[in-house]
Amino acid sequence: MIFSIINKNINNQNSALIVQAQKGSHFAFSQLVTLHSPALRLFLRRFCKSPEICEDVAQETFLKAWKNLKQMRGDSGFKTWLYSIAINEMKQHHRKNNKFNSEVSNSEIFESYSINEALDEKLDIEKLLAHLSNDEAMIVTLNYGEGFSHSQISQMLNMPLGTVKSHALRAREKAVKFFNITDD
Amino acid sequence: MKNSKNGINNIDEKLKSIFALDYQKSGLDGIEALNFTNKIMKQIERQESAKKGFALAFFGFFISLIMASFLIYWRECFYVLQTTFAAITPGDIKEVDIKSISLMLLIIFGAGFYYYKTQ
Repeated sequence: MIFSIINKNINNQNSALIVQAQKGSHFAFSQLVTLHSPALRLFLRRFCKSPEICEDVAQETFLKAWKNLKQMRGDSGFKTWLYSIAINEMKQHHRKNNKFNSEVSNSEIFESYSINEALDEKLDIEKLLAHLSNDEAMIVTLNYGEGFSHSQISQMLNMPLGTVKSHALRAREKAVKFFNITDD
Repeated sequence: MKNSKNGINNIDEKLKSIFALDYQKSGLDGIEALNFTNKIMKQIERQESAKKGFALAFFGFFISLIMASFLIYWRECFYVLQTTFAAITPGDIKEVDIKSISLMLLIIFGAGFYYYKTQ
């Protein structure tokens, strides 16, 4: 009950900030950046090839968001819109660095987690993501890490909803095996 | 069947908790987030001032172009005044230039303004 009230307050505050920022308020936009940047940067760190690229993509994402904020439609939600920009920026960054590859798929964009690296030193999440395919890792992160629904993920990744759901299911099955979770 | 269903439910909780833990350990919130925000806002301000500067330069260019056109136009007007003045004045003071016409116009305007104010 308390959590739902807090969430409602956060959402109201968020939409008020978005409206103010759309009117050109720098202060409101800075509040939105402070609110959303930690999660977005962590998300990018999981999938970018280096911290420098991650920072560049994060900065470009927020600058683009500020530039196009007036065009944002309320129906998709600010967070979904922001992550769509971030994913597109990652794709663009990848295309710039691979000019000779005209065809780029989602799986080619993101760095593969190397299973040969010293996994013991990594966090559980990194070990798991290394165990999944790139699409599965992306979907699991967006779903469990960022709290997006399957339809929002399908919109963000330009992927059919059925494909997203099947990737998610396969990823969960792999995770069950990975963590060796059984009936407690 | 029951085992696998429970496993899936448990994995949902497990995944949520490890992602939340990772977020807590990342250290990207708090001061780090504020520093990032400052960096972004500075870039936005820099971009906007550059945009304003460009707009001002563009506007300034057109204003100077318009002013130059007006000056050329007025120079032509002065030339007409000059020839008219030369035509109606005696021969010894025919050599008048733009400066003297401007001065005369200024004196006439000043006198007119003084007359208007005193009325």
